[in-house]
This record gives sequence, structure tokens and C-alpha cells, in this order.
Amino acid sequence: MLSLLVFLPLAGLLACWAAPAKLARVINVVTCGAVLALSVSVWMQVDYGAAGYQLEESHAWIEAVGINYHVGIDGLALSLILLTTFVSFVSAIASWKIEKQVKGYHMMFLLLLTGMLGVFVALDLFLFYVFWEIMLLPMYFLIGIWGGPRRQYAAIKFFLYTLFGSVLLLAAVILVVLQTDTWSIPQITAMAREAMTNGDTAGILGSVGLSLAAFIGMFIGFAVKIPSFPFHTWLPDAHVEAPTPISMILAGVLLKMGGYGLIRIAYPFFPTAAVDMGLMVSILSVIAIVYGAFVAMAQTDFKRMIAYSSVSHMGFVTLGLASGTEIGINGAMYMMLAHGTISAMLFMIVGVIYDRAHHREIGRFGGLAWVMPKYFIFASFAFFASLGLPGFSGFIAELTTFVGAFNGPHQTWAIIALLGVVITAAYYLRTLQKVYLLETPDVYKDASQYPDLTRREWAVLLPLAAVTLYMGIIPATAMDMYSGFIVNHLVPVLNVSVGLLTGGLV
Amino acid sequence: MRSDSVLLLCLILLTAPLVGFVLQYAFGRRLPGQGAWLTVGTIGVSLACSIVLAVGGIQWGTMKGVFHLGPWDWLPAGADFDWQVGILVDGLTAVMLVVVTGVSFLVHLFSVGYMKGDPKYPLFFAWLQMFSVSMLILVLADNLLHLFMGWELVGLCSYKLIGFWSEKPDPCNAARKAFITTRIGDLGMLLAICILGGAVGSFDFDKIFTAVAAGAIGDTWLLLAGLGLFFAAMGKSAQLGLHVWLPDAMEGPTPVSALIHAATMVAAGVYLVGRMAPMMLPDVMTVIAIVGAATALVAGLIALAQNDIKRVLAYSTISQLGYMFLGLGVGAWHAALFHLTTHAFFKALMFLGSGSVIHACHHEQDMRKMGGLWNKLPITGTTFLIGVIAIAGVPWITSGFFSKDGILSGAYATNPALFWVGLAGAVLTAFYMMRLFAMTFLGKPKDAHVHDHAHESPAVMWIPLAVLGTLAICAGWGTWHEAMLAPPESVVAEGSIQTLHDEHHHAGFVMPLAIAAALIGLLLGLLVFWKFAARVADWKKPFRALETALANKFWFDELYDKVLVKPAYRLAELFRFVDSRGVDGLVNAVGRGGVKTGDASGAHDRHVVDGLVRMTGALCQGFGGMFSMMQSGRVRFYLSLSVGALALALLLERIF
Amino acid sequence: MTLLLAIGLNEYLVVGAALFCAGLVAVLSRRNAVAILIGIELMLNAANVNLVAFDHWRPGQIQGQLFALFVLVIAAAEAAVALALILNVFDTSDRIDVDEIDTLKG
Repeated sequence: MLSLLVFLPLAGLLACWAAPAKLARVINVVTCGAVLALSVSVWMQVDYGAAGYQLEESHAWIEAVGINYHVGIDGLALSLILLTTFVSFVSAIASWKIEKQVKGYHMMFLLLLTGMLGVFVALDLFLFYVFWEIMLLPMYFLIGIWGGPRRQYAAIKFFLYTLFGSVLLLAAVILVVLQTDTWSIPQITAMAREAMTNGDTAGILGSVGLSLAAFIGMFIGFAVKIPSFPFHTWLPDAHVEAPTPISMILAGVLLKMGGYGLIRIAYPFFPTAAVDMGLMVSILSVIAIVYGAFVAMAQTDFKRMIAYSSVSHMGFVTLGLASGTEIGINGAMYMMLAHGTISAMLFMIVGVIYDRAHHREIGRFGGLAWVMPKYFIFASFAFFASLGLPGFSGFIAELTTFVGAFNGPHQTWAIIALLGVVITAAYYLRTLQKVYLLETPDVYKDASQYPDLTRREWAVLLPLAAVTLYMGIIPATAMDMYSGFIVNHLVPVLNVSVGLLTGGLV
Repeated sequence: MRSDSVLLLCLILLTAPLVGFVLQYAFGRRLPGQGAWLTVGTIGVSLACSIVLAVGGIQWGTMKGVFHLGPWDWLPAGADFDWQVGILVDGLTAVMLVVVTGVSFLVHLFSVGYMKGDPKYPLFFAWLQMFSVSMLILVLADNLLHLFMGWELVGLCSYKLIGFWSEKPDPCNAARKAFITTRIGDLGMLLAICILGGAVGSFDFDKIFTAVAAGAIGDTWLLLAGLGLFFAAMGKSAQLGLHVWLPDAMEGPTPVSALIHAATMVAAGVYLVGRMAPMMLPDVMTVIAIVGAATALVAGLIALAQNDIKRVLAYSTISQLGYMFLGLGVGAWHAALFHLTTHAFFKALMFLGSGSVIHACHHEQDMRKMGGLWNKLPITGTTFLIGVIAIAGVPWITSGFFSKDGILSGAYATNPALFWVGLAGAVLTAFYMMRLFAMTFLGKPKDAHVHDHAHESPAVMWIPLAVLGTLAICAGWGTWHEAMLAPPESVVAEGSIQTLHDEHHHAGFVMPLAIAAALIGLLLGLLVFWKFAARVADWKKPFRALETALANKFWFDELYDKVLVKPAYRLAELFRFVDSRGVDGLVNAVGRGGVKTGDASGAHDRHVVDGLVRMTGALCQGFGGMFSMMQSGRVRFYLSLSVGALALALLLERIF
Repeated sequence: MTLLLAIGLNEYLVVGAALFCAGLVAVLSRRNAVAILIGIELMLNAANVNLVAFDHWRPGQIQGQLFALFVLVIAAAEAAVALALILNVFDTSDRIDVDEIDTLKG
């Protein structure tokens, strides 16, 4: 089942390659739709209340070193898989406009989808790493070929940056595998848990210092993807240069890989090191939140502003994680899902106007609300969702993260992070006013040049908006899905290690 | 009443305007009459439910009169933490429900006439409906989180409605200012939510009070939580310091000002503090009282020097909200919330009245161009006069008299100094209100054009005025308010909230003084601005400095612009600079260094003998290039770098 | 009100730190050289506050006061030199915006 899910896009890729170019986009949309349907049927089959992984498949792969093809999911992975398939589906619709080398584009798109899904289902460290790297390649080409004027610079920067992170990640993975003698993620997680319950602070690597080093390596590896301050500078460039649908996937799914890696691998493997570094991570998160928001406020490029708002919002993910509390980590995870749909929507909104005006200078727009009223509804919807208004998913995420972080050990930093809320509101409302309100300059009054949303754009924006609203009003659906691993496994382990480190009760 | 019928009523009164919003937002233009009457109908349904609820639950003053519905699980974020939503209906809620839906209904009705011909006519009613929904969510909440959601949503609706005419820059800026200023206040609310929720494991009011009574929260945290909540209330209710947005909010259509920025949303801060009063420490209460009194006085002074009819009313609103906080702070809980109710009626009346005047004068808002409108607008004038005597507190008949007297006597019992401040404010209130009335309705017309074209508004606009006028007089009669607004008991300091008995038992000279204040203010206003209007300019001369200060509203806006807004933008620019030159510059430099080293090692391969020398050179060049990136020659960059390094070093030292 | 507590060494240090931060912000965020100079003066005087405060809580010794006096004198000299520099820069390049003056660029 899972293998089918992961490799279905590859079938689509082959079909794309074989079929004539004009069919490519249809094949892409159909494949993404099929993958989405399949992931929903997986959802129906998974009982995320139960412990452990489900729909597991395991085959020996490279027996000499004990590497298996081992896949399986739990609620945590499932929630992100659903996000991936959903965002990919709407991005595939948004890709309709791509005119350059259509065939290649859609093949790359489907390869990317396989990579992303693979990361979430892999239960073998080697497999995980392979999918992790598979993802990089199509992304590099998608930005480097179909991007904007400075696409090559952005693509190379993205590639080298993430490769730098991957190297540290790989080093840490090798360290872990050498010590534990297995590649299986569930097994290593269980070992780490056992070490904790035995009161062994040294953990799976048998040494406190080594654990710390491995954790830092992994953290940087994942932090580049999140991206966490100070590893964030690839993001604005990549976003600005990437075509709209790719920006949507980049912000909607790719950034979540880092958070998933932290929750699934780095934190459970090295709970003591994670608790040790909690303060450091909190500080970096708060810098990302406040500093990211300030930098976003100073941007003149619409897309760059949205990119920095992503930096700011993803700071909440690490902030929640660093708190080590149930509420905080649940909130962090909710932020990933909420940001996934909201940021995809925001990038689509930039894309819509870029298609018509061929520039993105905030200062040159004005009064678009009167020319394109329906578009304005979606734009203000996304803006208010992103600045955390109740009724939208962003509110739940921010609130739970704050409460969680405040209940954790680093209260002061949680309080400083509150500032981000005001600055976020400030830059969103400023942009809203400059781009959509006030008088319309004559340039934009031409209705033939600035038509309201097309049907395809509706098809992209409406589902995203619906999910954002649903997640804001009924948060239990998503939270029940993923919280099992966090509540039953991660937080207890972290609590034990807090106890060990403070010498208190075990 | 049975609790399931209460639940049913609550659900109906919540969903009716929500349905109205959805229909109106989606199909407004296609509905008959552009949907305006539909929204009047839905809010009418809500009003009917509220009245049934308020009248039906007769035993409000007792525990039997409290309905706690639900709570229902909502957010499964943590095992030992309940995030629930529920409905709490007690006397306070019932009063707020009637006030909100009642004023909202009348404002809807008034807008049918007032907004006629506006290109975005249906949208206006859609957002009025959404505002009503949000406000009802806020009022019906049984917990802090749920209340906060309504709180933020009313902020959104306020933003949308202030900026309703957003083709023009002023409404846009005003809307943005309102949203961001109140959001700064919301930081306090978030802090309180974190503190209380974290310590109690629930946001439920009752559970919080129980936990506080049991001493589950340390005094420092409790103090912070109380101050945080009050800070949020200061933002929403425009108290001194965070009041700057409310006068600007008058850029919105006048019905909006009446509904949101006079009667309901701005009173939400008072409601919040009233709701949470049992957990407020005496220190917090003192702060609330002082801020309230200062606001009452300062805003009253500023109102004296304004010439825009709506701005006078805006400052008057700020001042009256200050009274309510003064009342809450000194423990006169019942009087403060009673004043909230009466104020909602007479201030909505005056705003709608000013709307009627503005409508009649073809959107002229400057009082210096009005005058002598009494004959032209008899109904508006009469109802406006009722509003003026009600806010001034003319004894025994007007509702404002009863509520203001309660606050003043409460203040006298707890803190006599604040009583005198409040009394001075009362004289001021009567004085500037009479000034407003005299300049608008009495005297000679100052602008013949405006005067000639003035005409009485249609029935759909004056009927709400008449209803509100009746309420502004009658709301104070009887003892209904004592039954419905029974003060809660403080769980932190006994006696910090006065019982009804305490409130009645006050010094004998307070009431005569309050009456004198009202009458002196009114009389003085009448004399100065009607009888001797011609000589006002001469009399003002010695007070030139004061007048400049008042006309400039004590330079709050300018101060904030200099101290907060501009530096924030400058900080943003600085961070952008650091991000592109510093953080990204370093990355690029490393990249460039890498390329250079790569070139060098290539050379090494090709010319093995010579390679070593060349490689060293190229390496140096590579690193040199990398470091020369940092030698930008800009002093500020160097300084930022060294300060950053110092901070990092200190930080690392703290951690390891 | 119990909010107002007795003023101790800590309060002085907080005032000093606040002054110092204000000066630092001014130095970092202003581009006008004179404004930067004012920021530096603020920081120097923040140190003075601390010196005098420490001195007060260490009775019988006067080094703190002495140092504060030294700082005052040196600050005056420093201001004189810096203003002279700024004047010279202004003479040669007609501006005192420190971002524009980057002749030290490597």
C-alpha cells in the first residue's frame, strides 16, 4: 500500500516521458489526484490511536550492512503525508501555466513528490537519507531551469546549503548506526527510550559529549531545511526565483521535512542532548520569529516578504519543540500543518498577481481590491489566517505553541516571542493596504489585463482556504491524528531526561 | 428556565447573524433590497432570543440563575489540560446580550437609511452581522480562550468596518492603527492566557477562580496575569496610553462608530475586567482605578478642544470608559457595569444622532459650520438633548445619573482622591457635551449653505433614535440592574469588590456633589457656548498654551510615531541590512572562498611542482576575499558585528 | 501601593543598563555621526551611574567616584576630538552620514 503510494508518481513520470508533451500536465494532475485519493484511503485504514507503526513493509535490501527497505506510518507521518499529497495536488493544478519544457517540468514535479512521500514513510535511516537526497535533485532543476532571472544563483545556493546540512546529518547518522548496529528507526528509538528508563544519560551513543555532537549535527542538518535562523538565507532567494507552484511546494511541504526529522529522529534519538540544548534552540527560535518578522517588514518584494514570514512562522515550530511539553510539541506540529496550507495559499496569491503584472514590487501596486474583488477576498483571507486570527488554523498553532513554550523551562523566551505577533500583524496589514487598498493606479484599471480569478485559480485557492478554515474551527481532527507519537512516546522520554539531568525523580 | 432551552436560545441567537453574514457576503447584491432587511431580520431574531433569555432567567442574582452549558472538548493538545468551549449565561451575560443585540439591531435599522446609495452597501451589512456574531461569541464565552477568540474577531470586524471606505488613505490608516494598537494590548491577554492556563490546566473562569482561591498561582504571576488582562482591556477600551486609535476610528461610517466604537466592542475591555475581577489582586485594582480616573479626566479635557462632532464623541467615549474602569478599580463592580449598559444606550444614541446630523448636512462633520439646526432637525435635536442630559447625569430621571453616582460614591468609599478626579471629570463631561449641543443645534447658523440644505432624516433613521432616547432615560429606573448585575466575590482579597449593600451605604454629600457637578457643567456650557458664544474667543486667549496642547491631543500620536513606529521601521531596515550583508554576505563569502580554493586545488593538480606555492597564494586570496567582504568600511556594520560577537560570547558563557 | 519598593543597588544598575542599551541602540541605528557620538556619551554615562552606585554601596572608599570623574574628563576630551574629526570629515566630503563614509573598505 505505502509502496504503491510512494512509487505511483514514478509511474506518472514514466507516462509523462512516453506521452506527447501536451498531455504532460493532464498526466501530472491525474497522478497527483490519484495519489491524493490513495493517501485518503490510507488514512481510512490507519488506526492512529494504536501504538507503533502500521502498514509496515520490510524487505532486505543491502544485506551486507543490514540495510532494509522498511516503510510504515503512524499518525504523525500520516498527517504530513496528507498535507503533501494535498498541497502537491493543488500545486499540480497551479502548474498549468508553465510553458517552458512542459514535459521535463512535470517529470521533475512527480519525482519530487516521490522523494517527499518517501521521507515520510521511511523507517530505515538509509532509506530515509536516500529519499532525503532524491528530493534535492528535482528541486534544484525546478528552480534552476524554470525559475526567475537569478535562478542559477538561487538553485546553487539552495543545493549547496541543503547539501551542507545533509553532510552533517549523514555524519550523525553514521555515528548512530556504528554504535547501535542497526538502521531501523523504530529500533533505535526504542533503544534510546530504554536507555532513558534505565537512567543512562549517555544514551545510545554511550557518551554524553558524543550525543551532544551528534544532536547538534542532526539539528543543523534539519534546521537548514526548516529553515531556522541563522541558516535561513537560502529560502528568500529560492522562493523569489522559483515558479509559483514550486514555491508552494517548497513552503508547504519541503520546510516541514526539517520539523518532521527533528520530531521523528533527532529528539527521540538524543533526548538528553535535546533537553540540554533546549535553551539554545529556544533562543534561535525567538530570534527567527522576531527577527524574521522585522526583516519581512522591511522587504519591498512581495514574494520575499512572504518568504521571510515563513522564516518567522517556522520559528514557532522550533520554539514549541524546545519547550519539551505536550502542548508545545503538539502546537509545533500544528504550526507545520497550518503553515503548509496557509503559505501555499500566500505564494499562490503572489503568483496570481505576478502572472498579470509581471512584477512584485509592493510599492508599485495599489487598489487591486477594486479591480479583482474575488482575488482580494482570498488574499485577505490568507493574510489574516497567517497573522493568527481565530477561526483560522494559524491561531490554534500560535496559541498552543505559546502556552506550551510558556509551560516549558524557557518562559522568558516565550514571552519575547509574543512580540512577533504584533510585528506580523504590522507587516501584513501594511502590505494589504499598499497592494490591495487605496486608489487603483491607472495601470491596473485595464480589466482585460487584470481579470479576476480564473477557474483554475479558484480550484487552487478554494481547497486551501477550506482546509485552513476547517483546521481553525475543528482542530481535533488533525491533532488527534498526529499527537499519539508525541504524547505517548516523545514527551515521556523528554520528561525522563529532564529528570535525569536535574537529578530529580526518574 | 431549563438549561436546554437556554442552550437552544443561545445557539439560535449565535447562528442567526452568522447565517446572515454568509448569505449577505456571498449573495448580498442579488438579494432583494441588497439584503439589508434580511440582516435586520436575523439580528432581530437574536434580539428576541436575548430578551427572552434576559426576562426568562428571573433569578439572575442567585446561583440558580447561572447556566453553564457544555463545556465541549475542542482541542486535544495535552492530556492534563482541557481546552474546551462552552457557554456561560449569568446576569452579566444576559445584560450584555441584550445590549449587544439591541444596539446592533437599531444600528442595522439606522444603516438601512444612512448607507443608502453606497456602492458597497451589502458588504456593510455583512460585516455588521459578522461583528454581532463575534461580539456574541465574546460575551457567551465560559472561558478565557473562547473569549479571546471573540475578542480577536471583533478586532477583525472593527478593522474591516473602520476601513470600509478603504479607497481613501485616512480610513485605511485608521483601521490599521486600530488593529495594531489593540493587538499590542492583546499581548497582555496572551500572557495572561499562558500564565493562567499553564497554572490551572484550564481556561474556564470558574476553574481559574477556584484554583486562584486555592493558591495555585504565585502572587507575582497573579499580578502579571491581572496586569496583562488589564493591558488587553486598555487596548480594546482605549484607555490612556493605548487610546490613540479610537479617535482615528471615527473615519469609519457613523453607524459603525455607534455600534463598535461606542456601545459594544470598546466596552468589551470593561466586560473582561469585570468578568475576571474576582482574581484581580488589590494592587491591580489600584492600577485599574488610577488609569481609569486619569483617562476620564484627560480624555474629557481633550474633548473640550475638538471641533469634529464625532471626535468629541470619541473622546467622550474614552472618558466614560475611564469612568467604568475607575468604578471597577475601586470595587464598585455593579455601578461600573451598570454604567456600561446605560452608556451603551446614550452614547449609541448620540452617535446615531450625530450620524443623522452629518447625513442632514451632507457629510459635514465640522461643528464650526453648523449651528441653529434645532428647528430643522426637531427629532434628532430632541433625542440628542436626551443623550446630553443622560451622559451629564441630570438627577433622578436620566439613567446616567444612577450609574455615575454609583461609581463616584464607590470611589469615595475606597479612594477619596480619585473621587475628586472623577467629580472634576463629571463637570467636564457636562460642559463639553453642552458645548457640542450648543454649537450644533443652538445659536445662529454659521454656514448658510449647510443650514439651508439640512433636512430631517427618514423614519428608518429617527425611529432608532427615539427608541434609544427612551432607553437612555428609562434604563436607570427600577432595580432590575441590581438583580442582574450582582457583584461576584473576590477570591484573592476579601472586600475588594463592594457588595450591593456597601455600594448603597455611602457618604451623604456624594450625591449632592454629583448633582451639582452635572448642573454646573451644563449651565456653564449653555452660558458660554450659547448665550455668550460671541465672546468665547476673547475668553480663550489666556489659555492659548492649554488650547494648543488640547487641540493636539497632548501629542500622543507624535510621541508614538517618534518613539515606536519610526524606530520599528528603522530596526526593520537595520535587520534587513544585517541579513543581506551580514548573514547572507558571510554565506556568499564562504561560497566565493570555496570557489577560489577549488580553483587553487585544480591548479595544484595541473602543476604539481609549482602547485604548492600557487595554492598557498590562492588560499590566501580566497580567505582574503572572504574576509575583505567583511571589511565593508561601514562603521555601523563593524559595530553591529562586535556587539553581536560580545552578545554571543556572553550567551555561550551563560550556557556552558 | 506595595508596588513601589525601596530603591537599592539593583535599581541603579537597571537604570545604568537601560541607559547603556539606549546608547547602544542609538550608536547602532543612527547614521548621523553626531547622533552616534551622543549615543557614545550615553553609554559612558551609563558606566558612570554604575560606578557611582557601586561606590555608594561600598562605604569608606572613593575609587568609584574618582573613576566617574575621570570618565567625565575623558569623555569631554573624547567629544572634542570626535567633533573635530567629524568637522574635518564634513569639510572634505560634505556629509556626516557614517554609511556614506566607507573609505576604510578593504
